[in-house]
Amino acid sequence: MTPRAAPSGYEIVIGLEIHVQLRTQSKMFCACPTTFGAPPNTQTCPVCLGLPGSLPVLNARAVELGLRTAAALECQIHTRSRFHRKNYYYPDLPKNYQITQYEYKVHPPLATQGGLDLPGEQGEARRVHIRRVHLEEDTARLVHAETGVAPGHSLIDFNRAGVPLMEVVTEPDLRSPSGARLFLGRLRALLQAIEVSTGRMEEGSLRCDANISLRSPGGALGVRTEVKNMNSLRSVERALAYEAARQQAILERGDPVGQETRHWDERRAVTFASRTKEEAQDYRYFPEPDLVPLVVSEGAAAEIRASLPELPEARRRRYVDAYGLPAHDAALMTSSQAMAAFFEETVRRHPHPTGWSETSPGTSTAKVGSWRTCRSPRPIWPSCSTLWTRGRSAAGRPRRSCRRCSTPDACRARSSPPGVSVRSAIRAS
Amino acid sequence: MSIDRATIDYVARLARLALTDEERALLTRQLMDILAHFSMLQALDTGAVEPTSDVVGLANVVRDDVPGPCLPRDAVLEAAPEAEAGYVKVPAVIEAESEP
Amino acid sequence: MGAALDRVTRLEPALHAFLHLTADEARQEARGWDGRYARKGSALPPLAGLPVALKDNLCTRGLPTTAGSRILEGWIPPYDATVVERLRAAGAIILGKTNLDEFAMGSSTENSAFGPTRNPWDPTRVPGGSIRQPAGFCGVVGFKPTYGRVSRYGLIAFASSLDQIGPITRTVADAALLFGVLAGRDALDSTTADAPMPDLSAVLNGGVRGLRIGLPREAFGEGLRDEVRGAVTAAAETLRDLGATLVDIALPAIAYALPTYYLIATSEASTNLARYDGVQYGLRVPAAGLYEMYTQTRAQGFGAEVKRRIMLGTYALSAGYYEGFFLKAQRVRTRIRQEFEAAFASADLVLMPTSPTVAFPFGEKTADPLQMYLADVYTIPVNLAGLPGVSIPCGLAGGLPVGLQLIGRALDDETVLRAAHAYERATEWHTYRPRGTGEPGTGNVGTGGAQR
Repeated sequence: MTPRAAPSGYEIVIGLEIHVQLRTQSKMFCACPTTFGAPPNTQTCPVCLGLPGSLPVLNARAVELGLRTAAALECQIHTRSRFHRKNYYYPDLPKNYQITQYEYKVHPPLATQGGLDLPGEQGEARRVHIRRVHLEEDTARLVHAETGVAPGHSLIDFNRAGVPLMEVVTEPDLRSPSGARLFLGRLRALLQAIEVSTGRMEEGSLRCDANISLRSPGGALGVRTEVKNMNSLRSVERALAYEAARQQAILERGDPVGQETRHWDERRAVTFASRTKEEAQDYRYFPEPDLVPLVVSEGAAAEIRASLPELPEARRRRYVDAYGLPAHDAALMTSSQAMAAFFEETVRRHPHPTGWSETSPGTSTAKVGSWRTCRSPRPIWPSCSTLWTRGRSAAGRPRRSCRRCSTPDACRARSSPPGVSVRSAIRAS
Repeated sequence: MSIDRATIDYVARLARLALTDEERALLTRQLMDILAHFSMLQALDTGAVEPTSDVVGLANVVRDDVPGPCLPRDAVLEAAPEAEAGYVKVPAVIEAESEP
Repeated sequence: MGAALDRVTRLEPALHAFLHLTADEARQEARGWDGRYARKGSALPPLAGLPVALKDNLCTRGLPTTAGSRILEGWIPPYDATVVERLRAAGAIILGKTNLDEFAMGSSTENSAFGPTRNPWDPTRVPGGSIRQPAGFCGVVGFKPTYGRVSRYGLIAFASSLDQIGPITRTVADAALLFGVLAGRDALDSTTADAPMPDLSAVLNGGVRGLRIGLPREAFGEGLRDEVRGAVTAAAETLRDLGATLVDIALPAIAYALPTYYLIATSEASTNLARYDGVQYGLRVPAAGLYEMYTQTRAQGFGAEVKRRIMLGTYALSAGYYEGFFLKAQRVRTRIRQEFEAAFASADLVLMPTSPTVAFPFGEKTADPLQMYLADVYTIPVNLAGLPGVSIPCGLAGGLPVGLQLIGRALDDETVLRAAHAYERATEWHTYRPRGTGEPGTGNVGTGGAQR
């Protein structure tokens, strides 16, 4: 993707910090369940509450999932890594320290120096480098005064405290808000493909913070701001676009950009400076004495790499090469496990399709909504595996049939797992 | 070795300890004495020696990912100085007080 | 149980050893065990009916646990420490929770928020704090196992890489019995070793013939009171007469043990104590804002020594000082460990005094924190190296007990106990009791005189 130079000639530089809740049954350091949505403070124990005398014990599956991610992102997996204490005070942190992995020359984190390729606008691949992948524990959930409950106070739900978290940090290799969104989407698809995370930003299982700055092409890196509270892929793109424009306006005035943390307000579509003054934090990292080192042998790392399933990028290439699927559709079909499963089931049913109808350019998974299979009594295509959109036809009527069949209202929408709907569609026709 | 007022205040802030003036003066003096004594460590050559970062020589102590029993909510909330609607309640952060 | 409780009732007002007594429950449990004992035929667990007192930094479900601090006053843990569970499973009856320096930070109980405990040998003197040092000051056995032998789950943490739980008993055999019950891997503590436990009852009577006992010259130099040196040297000779060989060894790095220990311990403690913030449990000082709640709760809940150590530890970990203080101390720690390892090439045990002095008077060391730290100069190298160590009585100096310390290789707890047992069986120091505290029929000892 070529860097999009803003009209004034500035280059946007973006790095992302992504927190991923790992798909484990129990928490990082204790056996409390991690199921989402339980009533407050019903999934806690002395360890995740940080009660006096409690001690952490590492979840083997969390390590496995972290290693799997590191392998899928082509990172160097370190033979020996440790956990550290990151010390600061906040009510969502029961012990007032978080057990995490610090990037320290003597004790590296789980994995470093990987990358994920993104297709460029002209089709060339651009590599976004991964600086590190490490494991840590999630904080509790705070409910603030803004929601109207207990004004002047915060309410704490410790269910989330101790949930296993993986942090993926990129180098500042992204060059546009849309590129950041694309990367995040790719990463999410990857994480789903390797069954590490559900990737649901709305549920908080995938969270993203961004660092963004502007510079003259070839010049030094500009002052960066951190942007937080972006709760969907779309927010990420919108927030970064806003912030880039905001920084540009400042620079064009000849003023310096302030290094600060800014929160994205989805409703007002602006970023605003954090109300509490952020001071440079002295986290006093040191090795966690209650945990022992993690040793991953060369053999173990190789085994993990070998056991990876087909990754979205490889799958995309295979769909194009083996089935002649158009590039845009291939990207769509590999954007989630559900999509890929649907496609594979279709191909299994109809190994020799006479062709594929293309989705219109610009179709995204967001527009597709739930799966719909054409149920026209006389389908033109044996499987009508086209994804069709919620959009409106040229005549302004809601679409219910695939474009090829175009028998208005003859199709009944069915949202169900793709494989099932294909089978029922075949049975019905 | 000398520790100035700003340093004591900085450390007290990191440690979330409100100090009285007497405490501040006493602690400054005592910490200086202690650290002066401790500076004897610098005399020992440890260039080639690794810092001890674990005592037991174990590695890879992990547990299986099996969920287990939790504390009943009452046990958690009973101990809390203030609770409301199933949550533990604390005063909110006030902007002014977080100034260094 | 009745006898134990009677003594407690009689002596406790003067000594103030307990913060919480569970006399009624204990009596009831004891009756239960009496019944089971009478019904012969059923095998009883190893500690059936044995009265045990627990230091008040061990979490006991349903019983107040304060760690000697106002910040946890009134807190009732919702869970038992692993050692408490193991004691209960072995049939022990908990008599109550005993006093300690606040968060175990001290060597005398003068830092307890609830008042000091008095040494039964002389009520104007301190009993000490921790395991070996108070055993030395009070004429009993104190055994600190190898780090990692006993689970720390439920021990209110002071310094994570240095803390260890152990028994204080009248005899070495009792200490070995308790050690056997307490020790063993715990799934809830990642730092517990999976090392096999010896059959201690079989091992205890092995004697010391052929054992090489190392005496480090650094432990017998200046700072050691003459009367203590005399008793400890005599004890070494007794062991030689029993068949051990005495060898000279060198442990020069132990001269650096004090700052090493205090830099590491206070650094770890500064973060272990960060959780005491008024949010979930314990003391909360009401305030309009969060920051004030934190700072006032901790200001009012912690005593002076705790604050001092938190400040020291926070400083040692802070940006710019981490390398020079914390990491440097950890390097010296490695040196100390290496020196012990080298010593154990030519010795099977290391012998030292437990403390440089006998029990000191209240107030003698409270003016200067460093003076108090120096009381631990012989015990803390052992913690730094994670080795097993025991203190056993080896004499009286001015009517006050003197402690002998034996230290073994990592995981070689049995040799330490074996040698201690052999010394105890060959001497009578362990039978001495302070005046007015003995059971009827045994001798009484007080200050200025000794009887058996």
